[in-house]
Amino acid sequence: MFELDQLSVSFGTATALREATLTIRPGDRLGVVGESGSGKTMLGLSLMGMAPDAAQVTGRLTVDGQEMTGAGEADWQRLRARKVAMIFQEPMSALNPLRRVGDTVADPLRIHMGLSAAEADARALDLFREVGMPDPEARLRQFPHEMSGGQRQRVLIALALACDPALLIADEPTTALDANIRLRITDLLARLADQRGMALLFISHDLAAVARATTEIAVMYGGDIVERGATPAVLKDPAHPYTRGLLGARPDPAPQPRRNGKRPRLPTIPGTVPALGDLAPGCRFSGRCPVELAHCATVRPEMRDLGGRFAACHALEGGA
Amino acid sequence: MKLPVNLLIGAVLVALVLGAAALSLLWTPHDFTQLNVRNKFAAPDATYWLGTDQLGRDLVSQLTAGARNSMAVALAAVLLGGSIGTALGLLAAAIGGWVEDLVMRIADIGFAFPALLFAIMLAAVFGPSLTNAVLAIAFINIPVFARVARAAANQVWTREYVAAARAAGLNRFAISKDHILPNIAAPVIVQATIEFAVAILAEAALSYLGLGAQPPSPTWGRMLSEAQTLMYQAPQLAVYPGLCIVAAVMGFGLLGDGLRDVTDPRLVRER
Amino acid sequence: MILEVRNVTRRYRLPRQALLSAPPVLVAVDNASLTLERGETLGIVGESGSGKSTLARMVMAFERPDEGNIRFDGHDLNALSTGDLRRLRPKFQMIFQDPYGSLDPRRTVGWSIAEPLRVMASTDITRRVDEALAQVGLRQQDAAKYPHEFSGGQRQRIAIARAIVTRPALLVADEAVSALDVSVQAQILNLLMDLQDELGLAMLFISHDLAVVASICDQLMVMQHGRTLESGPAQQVLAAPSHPYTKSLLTAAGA
Repeated sequence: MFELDQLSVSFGTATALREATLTIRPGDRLGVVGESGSGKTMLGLSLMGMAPDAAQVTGRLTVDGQEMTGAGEADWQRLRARKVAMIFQEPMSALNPLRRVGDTVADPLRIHMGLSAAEADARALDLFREVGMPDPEARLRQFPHEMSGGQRQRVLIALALACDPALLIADEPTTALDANIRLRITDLLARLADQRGMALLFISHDLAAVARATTEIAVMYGGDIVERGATPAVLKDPAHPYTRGLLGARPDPAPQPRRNGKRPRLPTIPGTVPALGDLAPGCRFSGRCPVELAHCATVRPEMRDLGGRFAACHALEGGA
Repeated sequence: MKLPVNLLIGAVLVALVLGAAALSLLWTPHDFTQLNVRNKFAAPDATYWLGTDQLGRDLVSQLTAGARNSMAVALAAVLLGGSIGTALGLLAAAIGGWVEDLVMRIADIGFAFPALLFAIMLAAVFGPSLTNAVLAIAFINIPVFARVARAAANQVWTREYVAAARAAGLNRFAISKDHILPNIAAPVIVQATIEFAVAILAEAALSYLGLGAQPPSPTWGRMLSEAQTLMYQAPQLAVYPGLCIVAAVMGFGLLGDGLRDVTDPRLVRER
Repeated sequence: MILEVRNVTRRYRLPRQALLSAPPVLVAVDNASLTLERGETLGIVGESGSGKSTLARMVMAFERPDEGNIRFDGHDLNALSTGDLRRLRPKFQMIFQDPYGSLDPRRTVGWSIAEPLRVMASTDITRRVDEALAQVGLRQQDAAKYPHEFSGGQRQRIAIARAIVTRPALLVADEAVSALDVSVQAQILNLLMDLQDELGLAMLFISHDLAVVASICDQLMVMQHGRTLESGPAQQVLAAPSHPYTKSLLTAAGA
């Protein structure tokens, strides 16, 4: 179990992640959505103990009750791979081009798990089967450049699963992939989490992928978690004005016929995301929000319980 | 940003050498052509800081004047060879195809050609002179710069702003001038600094062989050459110009490496 | 008709696999045809390796087709002399994918936007640069700044300003919004639609994202491995896709 209690990551006056409070239990499939600068990648890196050296980290982070706030690199190294593993956006650059992918997967099994070479090879083959690699025996002996993007991502997933982590963090795992492969990798991650009872943190800007892969969702803006809840509920009926804006701005794959010779415009969020250091001290979304109140820019809204789901917005208080 | 140590040491050495060379234009402790046979092989004292040579000329004055000549030769040679080489590299990248192949194959041949041999040929035909030394050193620099410029230019040619410039209707030469050259300036300048060190060494070698500067014009190479016969009698005459050459070559070499470290974004990210 | 692409094929020779074998040939675009009317948008959907970018480069006359021809405003692009082609270029412009790579980092924004005008030897460069900046929602003062001072979305606005400053008849947008965040992407798509209404632009809009293409296109063409799988009015293709690949793209887009 991973518990974040008011975890913040900042660089001088710029706060990349502000007082994030979150619990990830075994088997949870949590999606984290947000745009550039929302802090979603920083959240993932914090859970790996990989926040940049220059960052100041405050708040608490515990892993299965073990205090990891301010833990050193040695402590994190014991946790990585076994408790928490990560896959990245670009599968090509995450693989050593000069090593056969089977060896890449078998290495940590020998080093961390103390398996013999033969045992490690057998385990690598099992992992390749588990991640749905076509023709797994032959693939073990291939080099990364001989594989497709989807196959390389499967190698990385196999590598991440090698030491049976309790939590798999996937940071934009499908962004670099073609559409039909994107679906298969998304579904694979969801299936692996369910089969293994492993928690999945699926970080993505791709709402369609998050909708498929996750049961719960956290929406981030400007370093804050602004809304949290069951994925279908949040996507169908977003409570926070930013979530509403984000979902509205997403183009619809349905045909958009012209009316009076004009094509309908997409709903947009006015303005641009401010630089991290220029964010309002209150609600980060103030200045762009259509339902903004007088005190939004200065007073930070609390996370409100809306019946099993949560949103941090002053406009939801009192009324609702 | 933290500056690399090699850049700092290089900058200090280069500043010392350039400072001495610049100073010698205005002032030297003594006239470096002034003979004073009665005072030959003088030991260092308040008047002659490093003593005098076999003809009684002041060593400090000769060394600073030599710095000026060595710098001038290196500068002229690198500027000339660098301009021609960079232009060829830009041309090769701009036109591509067989022109690029031809330019680069010629550059390969230039690389394989021994510079010293070329200098000796020039000296044999036109007589030894500082100008011919400059030409010889410039010549060996052309293929070096052609390669660096072409490799960097080919990278810039793949950028989208170059495609945008083509869409705007610019021809290849206008694109090379407006977009390619400014964006390859950093690697070319880095290379020029490193080649400057090579040029100082080459000039010293040519002058040592009597193919460069002619008497009475002092350069470090010629001083070394003249001191050679007196090695056992007055080893200091060889040691001082030798140290100067080492300092200058090391200075420019370190400066070039340091500049490459700070301008190469790949290396910056790894730090 | 502003653009007509007829039976265009483009092949690339790949590096040979063995010393004595003939080098393999990749057919990047295989017998593609399309027509585009003034003021209309044609969307090309496809993924990496579909040939959509190669097709765009041929329409921009950056590359020549091996077979077939491309007519822009009645001119056969590959039959024009270099000089005539250069004089025609201001009439068809392009926006690129990477808002960080499509502007020369060493030039001010105003300099970059003015570049095509200088080629045309235009007389009122400053006024037209200001006008183009206003049209894309930027301020006059922004002309003196450098690209690194802007966000990705703003840079894409700058790139659009440069593309429309010559008042072109055709705009080719190759993955022009793919690198942008969803909310910025919507702003840029709306801007392109506004400019199209205002200037009567024809647009060739290329993307891997079917939802994005659906929001902006009249006509739709689906490409895979260089071949055209289907094409037609966007509503028709989206409502009743005839090819299974198009259906899988629709699923991936969350339809």
